[in-house]
Amino acid sequence: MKSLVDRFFSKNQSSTVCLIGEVNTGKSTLANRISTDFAAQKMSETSEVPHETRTINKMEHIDFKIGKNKLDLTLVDTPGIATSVDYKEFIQHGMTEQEAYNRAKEATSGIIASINFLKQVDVALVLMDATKPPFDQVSLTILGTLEMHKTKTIICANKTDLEGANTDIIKSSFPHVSVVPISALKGHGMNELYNEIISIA
Amino acid sequence: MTGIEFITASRVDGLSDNNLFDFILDRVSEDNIVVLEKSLDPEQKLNLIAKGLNYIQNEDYAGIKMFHFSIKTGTERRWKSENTIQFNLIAPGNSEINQKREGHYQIKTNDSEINYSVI
Repeated sequence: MKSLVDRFFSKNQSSTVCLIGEVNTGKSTLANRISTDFAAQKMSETSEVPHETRTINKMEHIDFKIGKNKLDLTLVDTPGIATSVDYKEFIQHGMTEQEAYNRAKEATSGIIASINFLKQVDVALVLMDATKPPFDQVSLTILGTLEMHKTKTIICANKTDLEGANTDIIKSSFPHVSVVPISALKGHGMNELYNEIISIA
Repeated sequence: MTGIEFITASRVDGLSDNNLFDFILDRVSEDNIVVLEKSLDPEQKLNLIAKGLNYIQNEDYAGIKMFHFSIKTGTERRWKSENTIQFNLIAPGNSEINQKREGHYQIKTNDSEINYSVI
């Protein structure tokens, strides 16, 4: 009888969880952390060079189990959103002019794909760099758009392992959104994030 | 030399989103700064970012920088009235926009440093 009740009340559904945010906030690092924890494999390349992720990466049918609750999860890692892409920035990272120009074009296409994808997700994990003030126009615009579409949203205040990280300012700036402090790199705060995902998905 | 153009809400009223974005981007892609006296909702801003990135495919054009701000005006103790006017400052992508204090901005572009005040 107990197991029947548990089954009835436990979650077992599918959901698309999308990692979205500005450039270099740690989306791919978090995607890898989640995919490694639940599917034992990485899904994205990471790099210090901006716009490393230039296409939308999906991993489907992740068996996302937390306690008695289970989700058939599609995890989506998206290119970072920026209002501008300057090819000269890539030259500073050692690329030739042609390589930098090509990368800027790919990054531009990636951003546009992210913007279009934003409107079709079930759950959005908005990554913010907790070492920076949370008032960037890109993050505010992303959050506003998600709110307009009534998309379930969690803010991941990432990089808490770094000096100067301030998650309180993010929490107080967005009191109507669930904010989970994490370090995707070190794995801090992941259980809290997983519980939050399962509770709102 | 970068120029700055103030666009009143009445000047763009009635334009469709696409026409409004073209109106803005025509100016910004020519290395000008637009101060738009009009509120854009978040989805309009995202669409402007997307269109701005794709507007011109040449080596020097790098999209846009955007800054939203509002100022309170018309405070009169007698009537206790107060209005908020919404502005969007849209500049070439390779510029830097810094708010010095409320209503006062410093915009650095390739060839200019502009101090702009809306108060």
